[in-house]
This record gives sequence, structure tokens and C-alpha cells, in this order.
Amino acid sequence: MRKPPGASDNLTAYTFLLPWLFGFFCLTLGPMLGSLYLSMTKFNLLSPPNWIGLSNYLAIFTEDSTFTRSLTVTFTYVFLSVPLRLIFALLVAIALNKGIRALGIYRTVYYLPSLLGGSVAIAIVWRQLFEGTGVVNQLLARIGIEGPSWISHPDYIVYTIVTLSVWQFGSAMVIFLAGLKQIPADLYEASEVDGAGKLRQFFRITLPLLSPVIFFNLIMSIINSFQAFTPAFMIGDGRGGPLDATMFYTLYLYLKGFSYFDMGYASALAWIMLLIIAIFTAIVFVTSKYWVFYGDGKEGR
Amino acid sequence: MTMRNNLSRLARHLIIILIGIGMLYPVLWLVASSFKPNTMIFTNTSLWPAVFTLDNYINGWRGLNDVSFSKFFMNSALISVMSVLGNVITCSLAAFALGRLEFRMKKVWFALMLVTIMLPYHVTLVPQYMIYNEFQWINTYFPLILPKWLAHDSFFILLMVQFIRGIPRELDESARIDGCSQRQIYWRIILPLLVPALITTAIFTFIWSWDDFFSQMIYLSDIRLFTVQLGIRSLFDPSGQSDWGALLAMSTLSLLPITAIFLLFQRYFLEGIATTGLK
Amino acid sequence: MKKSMLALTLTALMTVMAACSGTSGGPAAGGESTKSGSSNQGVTNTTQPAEGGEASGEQVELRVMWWGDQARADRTNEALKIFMEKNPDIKVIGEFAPSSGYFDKLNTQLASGTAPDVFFLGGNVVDYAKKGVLLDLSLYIDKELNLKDMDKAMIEYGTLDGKLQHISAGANARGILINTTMFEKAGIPVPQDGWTWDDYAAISKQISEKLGKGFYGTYNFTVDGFDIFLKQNSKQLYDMANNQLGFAEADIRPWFDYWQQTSEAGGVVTPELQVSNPPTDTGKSLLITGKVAMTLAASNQLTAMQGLTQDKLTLVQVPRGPKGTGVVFESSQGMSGYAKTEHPAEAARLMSFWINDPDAAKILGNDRGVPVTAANRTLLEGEANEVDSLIYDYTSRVSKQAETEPFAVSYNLPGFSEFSKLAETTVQEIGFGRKKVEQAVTDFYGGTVKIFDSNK
Repeated sequence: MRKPPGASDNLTAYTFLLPWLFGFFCLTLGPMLGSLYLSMTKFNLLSPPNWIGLSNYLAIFTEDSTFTRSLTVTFTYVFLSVPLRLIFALLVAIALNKGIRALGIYRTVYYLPSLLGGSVAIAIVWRQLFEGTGVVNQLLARIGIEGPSWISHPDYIVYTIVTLSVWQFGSAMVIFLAGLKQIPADLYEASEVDGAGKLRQFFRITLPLLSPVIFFNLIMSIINSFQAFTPAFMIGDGRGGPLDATMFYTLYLYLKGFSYFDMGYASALAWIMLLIIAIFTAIVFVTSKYWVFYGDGKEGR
Repeated sequence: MTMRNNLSRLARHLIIILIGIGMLYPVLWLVASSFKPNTMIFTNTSLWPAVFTLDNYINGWRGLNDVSFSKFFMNSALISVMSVLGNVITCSLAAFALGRLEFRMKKVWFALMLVTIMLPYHVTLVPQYMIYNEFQWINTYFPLILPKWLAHDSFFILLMVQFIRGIPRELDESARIDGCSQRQIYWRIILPLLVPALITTAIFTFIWSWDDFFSQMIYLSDIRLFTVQLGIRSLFDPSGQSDWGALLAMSTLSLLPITAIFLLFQRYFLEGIATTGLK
Repeated sequence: MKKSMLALTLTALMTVMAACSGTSGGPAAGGESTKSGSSNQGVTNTTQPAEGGEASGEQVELRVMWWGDQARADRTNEALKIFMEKNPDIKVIGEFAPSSGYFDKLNTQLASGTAPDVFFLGGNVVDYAKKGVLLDLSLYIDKELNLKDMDKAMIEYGTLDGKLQHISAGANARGILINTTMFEKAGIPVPQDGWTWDDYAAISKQISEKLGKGFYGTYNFTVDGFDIFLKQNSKQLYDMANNQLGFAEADIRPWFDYWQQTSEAGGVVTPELQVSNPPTDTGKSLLITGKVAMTLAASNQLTAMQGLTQDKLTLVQVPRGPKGTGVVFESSQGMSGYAKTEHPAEAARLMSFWINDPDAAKILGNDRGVPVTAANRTLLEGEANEVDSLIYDYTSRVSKQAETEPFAVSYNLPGFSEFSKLAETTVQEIGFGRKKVEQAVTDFYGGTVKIFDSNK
């Protein structure tokens, strides 16, 4: 089955890859290398950059306490929101896959929050819900709990943002739904004949056959969550406050580059982020050999 | 037995509806508030407006400088549709190559494709802006649409790669025996089986282009080119007299097209592997 | 069918590819200009499309960019239209960005050498002047640019490093914004000009006590009132003449102590509420909802605030320190030219029109603050409504005060946005009990010095 690719195969493949290659070389590669260069300069955006070698990186690791805090906030966010979002999305997708009426309406209802994206409206609504006298605390008060001001206390605001990201689980759900549709129905019928219960079917059929899609959602959620910017920008004060509780990594990077006129430093931050994300992605790829099953007969990558 | 079935079905509906209401509450609040007079939006927080007004919609729709929201909606729709076409075509091409074909340096390209989305976009913004400026494409839709025609969204490439890898390889093998070229395999076998992923890509691209704000704001200056999101942000100035009512009203309206798109297209998920292709 | 489709896509891509390689490798060029910062390329490029549309004759194209909301966009465009009628040789292209993204956009354009000929700046003008991207307007004074009727203080404010780089488009005076309805409810007389900080603390406490839980005397304006406090004590934020910090650690400690004590006494909103309902966000301000009675605000904010509430608002002068109120007329925002503009004279004409033309003044109103020329102020005062009159009454009281107690105009620190973030964090560290005042102030001063050194 595995034969070395011939010249004509190469040609065909590269024809298919052409648009992407073209975009990569014309639009992406230049700016990426540019930012790598800038990360070794002092560049205030408005005057020419000065080469300072690795000083930016040195400063980030030795004397920048905001960097450390922003990493903590970001990691908290990633480790909470990624699993919660995916589990929630998977459960809802299975519930809304088939077998009941009005599926279309239900799916739309569950997807609606994600349609709002990072709009201004969502910031207004979220504040309204989670402020000290908001709806959430009114509900809590009924069961005798006096809730804090979720959107303004530095100890809690990150959880408010996690809630927002879990609430907007729609895109992950849709991808799970599409994945579920790829699972041949006769597999379930066959196992039903064998007398397998729903739970057994879920672990024996659904999970393994869905694993390429779970893998995809996991990778993308990790990448996107590490780069989360809009929720912190909209729910927080846009400057990482209160204290540094909403100082997500990309927000810090953005503030450094555009508000504090230190694009060289921001570029260095960006490349550190790239490394962190790459490490996590690589880990998922390596482990995927053990838990992702492809229909094309090749195990993992 | 049927009695128990009915009961469990009812329970399932009930649970879905209850959670759904919780999910939907913030959206309902948004819609309800868009019908309240400006001064009552933050003071009267009940879902049902005590005073019902359409002023927010009328004021908001006027838009900016004689360019009304109808124009913004047209512009957003144009950008979104063009982006959808671009992404569906070029990402599926790239995904076919990376997911199905064997060729030299495949792993390198695959890794690079992923790496490109790992760098936060704020730092590549300025150099990228310079490139588009070089082409004199500032204040046009090219910077917003062109990347989609060059398979710039690795998200969708990887999505399709994952789906393609879920398609049994025996199908291509038998097609090849029947004398199909790779291009024919792509067109006759892979694409039809990829429909759920293509629909997903189409829906997401449409919605995400529709919701995008930052790049639209950076690249568009002419009000006649403004999009819905730019129009909405223009109603909002925290230090000034933000027209909150109009903002919520236009946000509600901006939800309508994308909700409709989702509602219409989600049913294509229902057609799984059994009904598409494989004939 | 299938083949033609593919072929079509590929041909389309080939065409674009040809276009790409035709311009000697786009990305390389982009990377290059980042490195050398040689953005002249970009400048010539932007003007090319303009020359392409030669049909409009000898007209000069002038790009102007501002931020704000819908209402401001309408007014500004109307004023620009009149400018074009009066100056048929100039075609103004208005560019407008929502406030949430304005400076990102401006910075991107400046970095790539494509900034508009004229753009608006706020207190951050110092940062831009330091980086040499602003046009020196000195050459055009008394020619294209008529400043005869402009307030001296405003001209002085726009003169940075000895060069005129900024023309104020509206002035403000900060004061204490008061919700008088709350004072009535509490049965406390509304404060008068000439009060002191001790009065302020006592009144804040009284309001909180009289009105009970959930009501507060004042917002915490440690950060916004920082420079006023310094001036009241003969210091300043930024000593521009000597390019150094205008204060020492010991100078600011009492200010932080004052707020800590007032907070402990119960007169100040909780730090949580200050975050969830910031005083600067007119939609959420607790002054509007009748929960907080006083805060520091710029005079032109009264219009926006009053429009959102039934309660009656008014402005009173800032409490006095050893040297007086420390409040002068300040530019709320203004226009600067782009250093690389090809039409500096036309840019100067536009600015001159903006501040002097009575028709423009009537359209623009007080949107960006009161006019900076005496003639236009008189003009608008004649047509003022009730709220506007309150503002004029207040600003004239400030002017009168300034005659007897003059204060120099003050500038923001270079690196101001980073500094103000640090200041706010410091206040929150104290408020949320993370640090003692002494420690917080020491850290704050250390941080300030660091920010200043990397931006001066």
C-alpha cells in the first residue's frame, strides 16, 4: 500500500496545494519572518527598529512580572475552558444528533450564543448577567448564597470568561455533529443485534470513530484558547484589569505592541507563545497514535 | 414499553428545552432590551419591556453619513459569500493533498500550515498591512477576501484533513482500478463524502467573516465600504453618548441572517455517509 | 465540468501569482520596509490612486481621520463639506473609526507610512510628538493658520519641544460632577466652589451614611485626579522643559493615603463597583443611576451624562489644595498633521478653518469641548440650551479662578497609557487589600520611573 511517491504524484499533489503554497509565500512567510526579526529589536512602531539581540527575551524571562501573571491567567483559562467546552459540546452533539423531533430548532438554539461571537452586545449582556446585582446573583440569592461581583472581582473574573467560552461551545458542537454523521449507521444496528447497551455503543463505536474529530477539536481549542483575546478584551476593561486578572497573554502582547509602543517586545512575546502552543500541539500529535483511529487505515501520524 | 419510550422521549425534550432556555437567556435579554427606550435598558432589567419602542431600530438603521445599515448588510454579505467560496474551494484542495496524497515534503508543509496559525496575528498585522499597501489594496475588500482564496484558514484545512482521513481508503483504490485520476478521485469520491465538512466550513466561514471586526476596522476607511460590525461599533463610544438602544437593535438584526443560514444549512448534517455518494 | 472548474480556479490563481511576483516579491519588500522603516515608498503609493482620478482637476486630496460615534461622524462630515465649499481646491476625504479601534488603526497606518494628512489625538499627543511623526505647523502661523483669536494656553499646549504640533479642537475644564438629586434626598446642601479636600471626604462619608447601603459619596479618582493633586502642591506630572518626572515618591504618598482613609470611612464606592461601573463609561456610571453622588469629570461630559438621567446634575470646582484648585482649561482633543504629508499648507488651512470658522463652530458645537477661540465661544453661548449654559457657567468660573491663580498647562507623561494602567493597578491593589499603601506607592513609583525611562 505504501509506495514511494512518483514524480507525477508529486506534481498532482503540489497542484492541489498550490493556492495554499502561494498564500504562504506571498502573504504569511514574510510577515512571520519580519516579526521574528523585530523580536530582536527595540521597535516603537513609529521610528526605525534598533537591533538589540536577545534583550527582549531576556527581559521577558528575568524582570517581567506581568508576563508571569499573564501566563498564569492564560493557562488557567486553557485548562478550564478546553475540557469543559469539549465535553459539553460532545454531550450536546450526541443528544442533538438524531432520534427526536425539532432537532433543527434545538441545534439553532444551542448554536445561537456562538453567533454573537465577540460583539459589543455580548459584553453588555455578560456584564448585565454577572455583575454584583445581576441575574446570576439574584438566582444564587434565592438559594441563600450571596454571590460576589463576578465581572469585577479579580479572583472571579477569569471564571466569568471561562463561562462565556463554554457557553459559546457551538462551533465545537457543529463539528462533532458533522463527525457523528460520518459514522455508518449499520455499525450501531449490528451492535444492537449483539445486545450492546447505549453506554457500550458510545465507548465501543462512537468515541473511536469520532476520534479524528475529537483530535481536531482538541488541537484547535488549544490553539484558540492560548490565543484568546476578544473575551478578555470585551469582558475585562480592555487593559487587563482589574489588577491583572484579565491580562490574557495575547492581550498583554497587544497592549505592549499597540498601546505601549513596544512592538519589538510584543514580537518576542508572540514567538514565545508560538513555542508554547507548538509544544502542546506536538504533545497531542504524539499521543494521538494511541487514541485516534483513522478510516484510511493509517494509525495516527 | 411504548409508554416508557414516550416518557423517556418527553424527559429528553424537557431537559434539552430547560438547558436551552438557560443558554438562550442572554440572547433573549439582548433582543428584549433592543425594544426598550435608551434610558431603561440598564435600569429596567426585566425580560419584558415595560415600554415598547421601535425607535432604536429606526434610529439605528439610519446608519452614518447617509449610508444606512442596508448598505452595511450588503457589504457584509458580499464579503461573507466571497469568503465562503474561497475557503470551500481552496481549503478542500489543500486538504485533499495533505490528507490523501503522498508527496515529498508533505510533513514539512503540514507542520508549517499549523505553525502559521500559532503566531498571534497582532505582530504580523503591520508587515501584512505593508504588503497590501504595496498592492494598493487598502480600503478595498481584497485584504479580507484574498486570504480565503489562498487557503489561509488552516483551521478548515485541518478540519477537512481529519474528515478525509475518516473516509475508507478502499474507495479510492477501487476508483483507481476503474481508471480514475487523482483529480477525478477528488471530484467524484472525496468531495461528495466531504459534504458535512464542507457545509461546516461554509457555515463557519460565513459567520466568522460576518462577526469579524478587527481586520475590517484596520483595512476599511470609507464609510460606504463599512460592514455591519463596523456600523455597530460606530454606535458605541463609552466616553460619549453611546446609543445603546440602537446598538442592541442593530446587533439583533445582525444576528438574523446568520441565524437563518445556520437554520437552513444545519439539516445537511442529517445526510450522513449513507445518502451521499457511495453509489 | 469537473476539470473546467479546477482549471478555472488554477488559472485564476496563476494570474494572481503573476501579479504577486511582478512587484518584485511582495513579502520581501514588506519585510524590508519594516526593518529600515523606510516608509516613503508607502507615501508615494497612497497618493497614486488620487492622481489616477485626475478628472477632478487641480484639486488636492486631504485625508482626515477621527474617532467617535455616529453623531460626531455626522457633524464632522457636515463641517468638512462646508470646508470644501469654501475651499474648492481641496477635496477632503473623511476617514472615521469607532473609538474602540481608532488608535490601533492610526498606529498601523503610521507604522506603514500611510497615515492620513490630518488626524485627531487626545492626551497621548506627547507620545506621538516624541516619536517625530507630527507635522511642525510653526511655518504656517499667520499664513494658512490663523491663531490670533485662539486661547494662549491652548497654543502653548500644542507647542511641544518648541514646535507647534497640535491644534486643540475643543477645551474642557475638569470639575466635580454632582448628582444634586442625591444631595436633596440626603438632606445635605450641594457643595460650593472653594471647598477643601477635608470637606470632600466629610461630605462623601455623610452621603453614604444618610442614604444607606448601596449608596456612596464618591467614585475613587486617585488616577484621574493625580495631576491635579500634584499641581495643587506645586508639583507636576511631567516636567517637559527638562524632560524629567515632575514628582518624587514622597509627593504622591499623601494622595494615596487620602483615598485610603476616605475609603475606610465608607464614603467611596467599593473597588468591585468601580470596576463593573467605571465612571468614564457613561452608560454604566453610577452617577446616572443615582448610586454615587460625586466624581471628577471633564466639563463636556455633563451633556452626555445629563442626557441619560432624570436626576439633576451640576458641576462644582475641584476642592482646593495649598495652591488652589489646580484646574485650568485643557485640550480635550485636537488635530495634528502627519510629518510626511504632501500637503502641509492645506492641512494647516483645514485646522485654521476648524477653530475659526463660525459656520463650522455652529455645526460642531461642544462635541469635542468648548471652542478654543473667544469669538466662537461667544457665538455658541448665545445659542446654548440649559445643559450647555451650565457648562459655560462652570468654565467661566474656572477662567476667572485661573486669572488669580494661574497654573501652567500640563502634559501627560510619555508612555501615558502604560503609566495609567500601572496607576490603576496600584489603586486596585490597595482597594482589594493586596498591598499596604506604603508598599504599593513604592512599587508604583519604581514602575513609573521605569516606564518613563523607556519612553522619554
